[in-house]
Amino acid sequence: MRELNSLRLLIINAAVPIMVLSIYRALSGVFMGYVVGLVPEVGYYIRPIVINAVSFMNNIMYFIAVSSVIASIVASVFIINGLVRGWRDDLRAVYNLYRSRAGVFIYVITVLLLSSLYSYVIGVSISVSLALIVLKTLSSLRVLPLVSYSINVVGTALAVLPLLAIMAVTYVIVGILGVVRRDLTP
Amino acid sequence: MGWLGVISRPRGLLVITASLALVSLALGFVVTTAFAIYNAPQLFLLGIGNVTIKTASSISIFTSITPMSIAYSLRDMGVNVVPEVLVLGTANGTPVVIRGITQGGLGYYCINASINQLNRGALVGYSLARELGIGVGSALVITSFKDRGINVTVEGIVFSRLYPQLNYEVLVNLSTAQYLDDLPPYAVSVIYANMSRSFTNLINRNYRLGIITVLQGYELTILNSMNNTVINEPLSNTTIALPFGAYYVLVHNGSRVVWYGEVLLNRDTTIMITKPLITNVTITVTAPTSWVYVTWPNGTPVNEYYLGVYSMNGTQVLYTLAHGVVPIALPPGDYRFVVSTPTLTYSVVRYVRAGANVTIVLTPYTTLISGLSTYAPSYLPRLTSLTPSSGPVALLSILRVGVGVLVGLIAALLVILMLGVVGVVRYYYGANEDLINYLKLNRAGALVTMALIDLPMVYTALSATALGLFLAYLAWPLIINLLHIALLSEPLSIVKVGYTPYVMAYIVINLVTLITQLGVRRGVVGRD
Repeated sequence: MRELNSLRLLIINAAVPIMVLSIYRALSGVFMGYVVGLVPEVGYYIRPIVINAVSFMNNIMYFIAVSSVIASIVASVFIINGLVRGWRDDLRAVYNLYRSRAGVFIYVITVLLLSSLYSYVIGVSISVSLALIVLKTLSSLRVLPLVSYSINVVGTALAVLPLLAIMAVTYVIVGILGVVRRDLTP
Repeated sequence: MGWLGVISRPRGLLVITASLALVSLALGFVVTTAFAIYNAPQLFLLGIGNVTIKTASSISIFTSITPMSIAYSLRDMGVNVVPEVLVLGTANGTPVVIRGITQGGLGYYCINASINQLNRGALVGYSLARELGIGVGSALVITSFKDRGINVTVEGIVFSRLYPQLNYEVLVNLSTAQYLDDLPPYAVSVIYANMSRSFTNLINRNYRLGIITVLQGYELTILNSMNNTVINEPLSNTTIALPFGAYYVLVHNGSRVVWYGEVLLNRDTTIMITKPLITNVTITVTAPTSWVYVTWPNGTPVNEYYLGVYSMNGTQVLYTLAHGVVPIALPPGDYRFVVSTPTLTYSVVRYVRAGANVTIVLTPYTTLISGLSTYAPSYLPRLTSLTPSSGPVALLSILRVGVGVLVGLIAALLVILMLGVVGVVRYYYGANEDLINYLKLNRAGALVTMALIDLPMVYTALSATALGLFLAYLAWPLIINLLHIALLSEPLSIVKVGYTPYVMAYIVINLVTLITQLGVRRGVVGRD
């Protein structure tokens, strides 16, 4: 890459949807952990109302999380598409190194896959930390009436894996298309 | 400056437009949803009239207990008032809002139905009737969240453009709703009134009623406008704090009323009871056999509450508005005592024995919530023993935790989306590094650099965020309806959020963009 900025941007862009989804999974996990223990114990006459309220809260959280994920994935596509345009000199240098178009494509794919992987690690780490900070702050302010809570880090990380795959595939497809479309290889 | 001619527009503006529009769209959804949740009481509180009177301390309208005497007192003063009872419940198994209204309510909501129809059965909202597949004459099984059920006949279908909430609700008369909500006839959830703001301030206060007397050995009894006893104590020179309202003051010696007067308490008032006014009216005061002490866990008496006493076959034997200690005269036996405060309904069975006092220690709502939060799984066996009050408490605690988590999610999403904005701005300056270096080499002035690099970004950000937020404004209700996001059958899209969330989001996103731009610009343009 021309400089580290480009790689950093790639990672940040892929990390945004991963962060959104993992923070949603982490926080909704806290909520559902509380609800699942409580719902079977409430009176039969109030259970439909409780389930309705829980489903309402879940739908709301799901809606804003999914809309943010979709918006950030599409925005990432635009950004990666724009970034690829500036790689002409780098790709020529890579071509001179490998003396093959396939080598250039392998190089591009490796960089994009690694960016996605870094995004995943960074995204999940930041989200879990952010979730803990948010929960601690809100419970201290008594906005959230939970005294003890736990975040399922492993469950969250596993749940976000499909999104990592989506991001990686999107990055690779958009990156390769960008290289081919603009004829960036010599 | 001939080199200016060879410079094209900055690169990446299209990417910036698309990215910021999408970020704004997502942000628009997030803030609109946040505002809609904040304004969710709009789904239930229809706000007819210009003043809504409810218990200030109650978290939701469904736990508000407002003395009907306020409505009567205001009506005595010529104010137009409409009392209403709102109950959570299920209709044929579907969660719905059950609204208890009066004839005045029918008029205010412009419902083309008579009070007789309401007294015979229930009116069902158009959309709810469609969802349940019922029509006029169908049977409806209603169960409230306080485990009270009735079977009614659908007497009419309601359709309202003015109050779309009604299309998803069940309307019954006030007394049916009071029964479903386990409320006495003199308590409602909310009172709507048409009155001036200065008048509103009068209601929100307690007033001092000073009693000056020379009489001795008499009892003082104060009744509210619905003839419920609010004070019963030995007559003496004293000052009592009472909420706004019309009161009847009685002085008696246990068997004979010797003085009475009416007082409208809308300012601090003093009455003088100097000599017996009447001597020919008698009342019977049953000597109490026991006293009921209602206290908080720390021993403090509960200030104001409704006390209902039921025999074990369910018959109500006493219902009164009470302060601290209440005298009761009941045959010995087991009774269920139900204590209702604005924040708590507590039910317990106690054995009453003549001469022995009954002490009821309330478990405050906050203690329950804290206990539920901390020990939810291990606490549950004990919680279920609190039935029937455990249902509403569990519901409220779930909603509180849900809203708390939602607030957390929204806060976190805002942080993450702002991080996305930072990425977009960095991309823009990265993409235009060649142009910036070109301008530097040609010793372009600060104004030229700003005009060619910074201002296009500002214009783009302003228009792209406006576009994204406008799309969010158009799409939000459609998506909410499409996903059928509804609380108690009432879609969230009914809530009117106005333009405020969009204006706020517009200002915030552009401020963040501008601040980030200044920071990134310093690193790129300012670098030699």
